[in-house]
Amino acid sequence: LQSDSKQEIVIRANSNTADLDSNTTTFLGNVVVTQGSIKLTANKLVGIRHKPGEEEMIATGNPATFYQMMDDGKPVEAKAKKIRYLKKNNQIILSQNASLKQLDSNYTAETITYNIDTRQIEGQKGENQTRTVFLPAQVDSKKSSKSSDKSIDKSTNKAAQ
Amino acid sequence: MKKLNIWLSVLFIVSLAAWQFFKRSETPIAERDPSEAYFIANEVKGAVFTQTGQIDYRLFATQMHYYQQDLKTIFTKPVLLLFRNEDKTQWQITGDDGILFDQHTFELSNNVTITNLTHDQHINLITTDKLTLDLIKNEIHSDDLVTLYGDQMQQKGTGLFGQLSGKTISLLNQVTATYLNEKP
Repeated sequence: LQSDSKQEIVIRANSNTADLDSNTTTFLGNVVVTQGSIKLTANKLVGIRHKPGEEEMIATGNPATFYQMMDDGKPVEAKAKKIRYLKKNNQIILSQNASLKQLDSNYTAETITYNIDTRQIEGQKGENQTRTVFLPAQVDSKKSSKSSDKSIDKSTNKAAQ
Repeated sequence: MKKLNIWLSVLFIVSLAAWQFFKRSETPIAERDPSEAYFIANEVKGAVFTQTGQIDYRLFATQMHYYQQDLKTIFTKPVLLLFRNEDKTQWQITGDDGILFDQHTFELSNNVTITNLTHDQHINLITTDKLTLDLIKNEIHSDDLVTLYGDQMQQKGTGLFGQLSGKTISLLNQVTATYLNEKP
């Protein structure tokens, strides 16, 4: 959901270790991350806080999973050995047998980069690095709401800096 | 000659009895009850140094009872100021009650707080109800519910292990971490 990025992030796990100097916390065992409708599960998660609001999370699992409900009521589901969630530009990067399901179509690639705001998907096919960009048709139809969303994001980013 | 011997032996017996009698009646010196505090101090302010002469920790308490018998010191409202991590990190540990065992295991209980006085670090406050501090290994342990507070972040779990000289603090089970999202 659009409101997800403004929600608090809650991480549950069996145990964790916080590293004082590097603002990093490593969570181990049954890791579940929730933020609004976003849900991420993994065996291990390294949370790095570069700046408040600019958290980065590296989740690894067999597989690690990602789920988010979109505003149009259709969920996005993704799986990969490694999922990196960059809150700053609201992006998730799936690597090692990554797959992403959205609007009843499924993408698999070595690495998939998914932008949560624009719902743009970039897939890289491993060594030969072909880049296939899938822009769901629905995004064009919501042009008007999209532009208003864009302005909101810019203002919140500015405030976040 | 016989009479004399009798007299001598009677005299000897009487003096022996008298000696025994007076010895017993000496008042016994009052033995100190070893379970009582050997000394009590109020408004304690102390500093303990390492072998190399650096300050190891400062200790404050409203009251301190030292028990020589079992090498135990009981503190009321203890405050420990520890200098660790090559002085990069200073920790202030407080509690309602504290017991120092054999000079290096410090057990704190009730409203235990551990404040990281170096503010730019990830964790700046830890609270729990019971904590054991090993002053030689520089480790903190707890089996209780522990809460770590950081900048717009809070982590709860049961069981804590921390290396004050290293730089890691671990929550051992059922961890819930919440990263708040208020825009600064």
